[in-house]
Amino acid sequence: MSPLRPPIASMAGYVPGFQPPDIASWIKLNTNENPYPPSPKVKEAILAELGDDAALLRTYPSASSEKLRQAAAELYGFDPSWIIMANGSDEVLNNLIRACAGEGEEIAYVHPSYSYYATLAEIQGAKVRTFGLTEDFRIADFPERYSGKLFFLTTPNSPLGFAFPLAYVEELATRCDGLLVVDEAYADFNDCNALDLVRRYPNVVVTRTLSKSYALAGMRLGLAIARPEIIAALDKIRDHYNLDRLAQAACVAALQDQDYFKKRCEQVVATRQFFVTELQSLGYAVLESAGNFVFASPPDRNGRRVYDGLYARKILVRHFSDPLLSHGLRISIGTREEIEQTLSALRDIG
Amino acid sequence: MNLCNLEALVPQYVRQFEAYIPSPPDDELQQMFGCSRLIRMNNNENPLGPPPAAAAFLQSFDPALVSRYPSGDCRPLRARLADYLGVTPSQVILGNGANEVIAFVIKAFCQQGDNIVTADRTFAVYEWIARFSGVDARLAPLNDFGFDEEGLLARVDSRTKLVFICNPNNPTGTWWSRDRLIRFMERLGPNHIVVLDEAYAEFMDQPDYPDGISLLSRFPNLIIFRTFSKMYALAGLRIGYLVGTEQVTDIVRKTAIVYSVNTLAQSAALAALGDQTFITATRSLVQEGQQMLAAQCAELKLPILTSDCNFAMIKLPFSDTLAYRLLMQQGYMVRTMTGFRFPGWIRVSIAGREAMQGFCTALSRLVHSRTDQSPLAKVYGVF
Repeated sequence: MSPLRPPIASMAGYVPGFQPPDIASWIKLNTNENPYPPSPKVKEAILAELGDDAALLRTYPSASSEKLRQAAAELYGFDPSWIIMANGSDEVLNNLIRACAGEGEEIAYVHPSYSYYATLAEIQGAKVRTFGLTEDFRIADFPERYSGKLFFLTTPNSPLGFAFPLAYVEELATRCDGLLVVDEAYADFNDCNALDLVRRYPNVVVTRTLSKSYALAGMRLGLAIARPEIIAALDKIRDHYNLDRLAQAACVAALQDQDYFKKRCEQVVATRQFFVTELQSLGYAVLESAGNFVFASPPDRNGRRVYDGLYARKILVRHFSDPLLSHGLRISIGTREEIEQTLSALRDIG
Repeated sequence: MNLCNLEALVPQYVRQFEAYIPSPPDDELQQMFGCSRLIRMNNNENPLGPPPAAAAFLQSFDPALVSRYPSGDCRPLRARLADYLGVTPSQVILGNGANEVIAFVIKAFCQQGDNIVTADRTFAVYEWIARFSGVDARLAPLNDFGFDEEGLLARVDSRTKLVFICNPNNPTGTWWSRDRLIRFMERLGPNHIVVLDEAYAEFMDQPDYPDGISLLSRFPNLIIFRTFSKMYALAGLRIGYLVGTEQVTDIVRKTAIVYSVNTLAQSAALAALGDQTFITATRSLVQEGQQMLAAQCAELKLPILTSDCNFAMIKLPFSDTLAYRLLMQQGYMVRTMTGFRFPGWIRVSIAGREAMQGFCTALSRLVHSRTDQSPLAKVYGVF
């Protein structure tokens, strides 16, 4: 084999999380998926796209994702030129890095949040800086002016669930020389979002995903909202056929069925409130959550013990070995029934 | 508040890169050109539509499936592909179309100052991704419409990480035989990765066309690209993959974007793979279409490059953009080749029999209208 020394040789790479092969027989609360199916309009739209013989699939999809952009533009109140559609928000996060951070240039994110920013930056050869959190959930030691190319701010935060106050996000925007990327993967479960900051600050980008609130994790759909000149830069380096035909059909149908969407989000939020109260009555320390999950620590602060107990009962949740997080668990909000079963398992485990 | 300074934010090699402009949707094109229906012969799509098993799976899919994440690394599909291709699952990496796989490989091996080497008239995306990644793309002119071994080798230096060989080549349909590929690999040596893009491999029915995968044990620096977009008629679902030795795929996996192939695409590809009845039907349809085109071009005395692939290139005695416009008016969309450094040529994808007959007639009318000197034709044209 050749003595190639790729710049990524030292990288660990990203390993997808373990999934039990018989996943259908598990209660799966580990990846913040929506416990409900997507809007019935999604299936209708996919079947319509397929037609009698799926013949349309032989042809390339729309390269401009025009209908999706239009639907998102109407929903969020922007001109379509402010919107780019992506193969999951991961794609647009990746393209933000590709478009803005050259080799050796710096990007930053908050730890703990979504570590995939770091993986994507390493692939690009960019430098990665992490900022910690203070006890009252502000960014620790954030400079008066941050000169890195991109600062990724996940709000609501995963895995902790808190959301930064908008005024604080706004302040961070004024302190970033580069782009402030507000990753709002969970914003639909919160009562506010940063969309207005996109209008008011030229360096604010908001990213969204349809994986969580729209129950379309399997279709890989995300988007970013930013000034047209930023969108244009992202547009030219994306793969021109980045979204397949069925994903495009699903996206339009999901975004347009707001009644279904709101009903399901309300259900998830109601189950979350119920779960938090019940966990607290079991003596768990629970952070207030603005997402479709909670971060909770058992009284003995031994997250691993409870993870194992749940695992033995075929309930899959998320435990992080990071010392900052190992005392607790991140548990996605399932159906009311799944959460009740989880609570009874937790009582059993003690 | 100042407008943020994009000049400072975006590296020069991204700013210089020009966006790809996709063609407008069919209804707009029809209005633009005044044709009542449009047959796309510009994207090398398989006219038969996907294999029946893929269609059947999709038509009965369970919506609850799509609220869950797909397999992040396409595990079931990789296992099936590995079995089908005679490799291990870890030797296969899937992407959201082969385009994404190209990016994985360039990101894995190249940093700024490195270069890739390929032909000047081949699939353009190798060059595009290299350029917007700040990597130099060195282009060797085709020789007699085929990849030129000497020209490629002359451009390889110590900073060359990747050599892209499109075999058979899009758009010319030319291909290297097994012996020729082996000779090139031996002359190049082991210090560079060779990407063998076999997007059209399943169309090839020639005894000495090389199966790159069978050469991996001899040349561990080979990477093979394949796609479900062409033979398997799933262009609409975006599924491509690469196969390499484990040493190579262990590196490329680090730059591969996980979860990029959606659930329905993974399952449809799995259902489609290896349908020999479908492959045979497609091959005979393509063969028939190529013969029709060749006969028509012979009659019109137009040079044509035919092959086993589902496209052919035709040289016209006038501008290809003019030909595009006049064929569009008759409802046939071809690819102009000036932008691909072949002025005066068009690339035509093989469509179904009826469409091919219609296209041959349209081509004939077009050529006669441009070359017929009779005063009547000049006055009235034929359209």
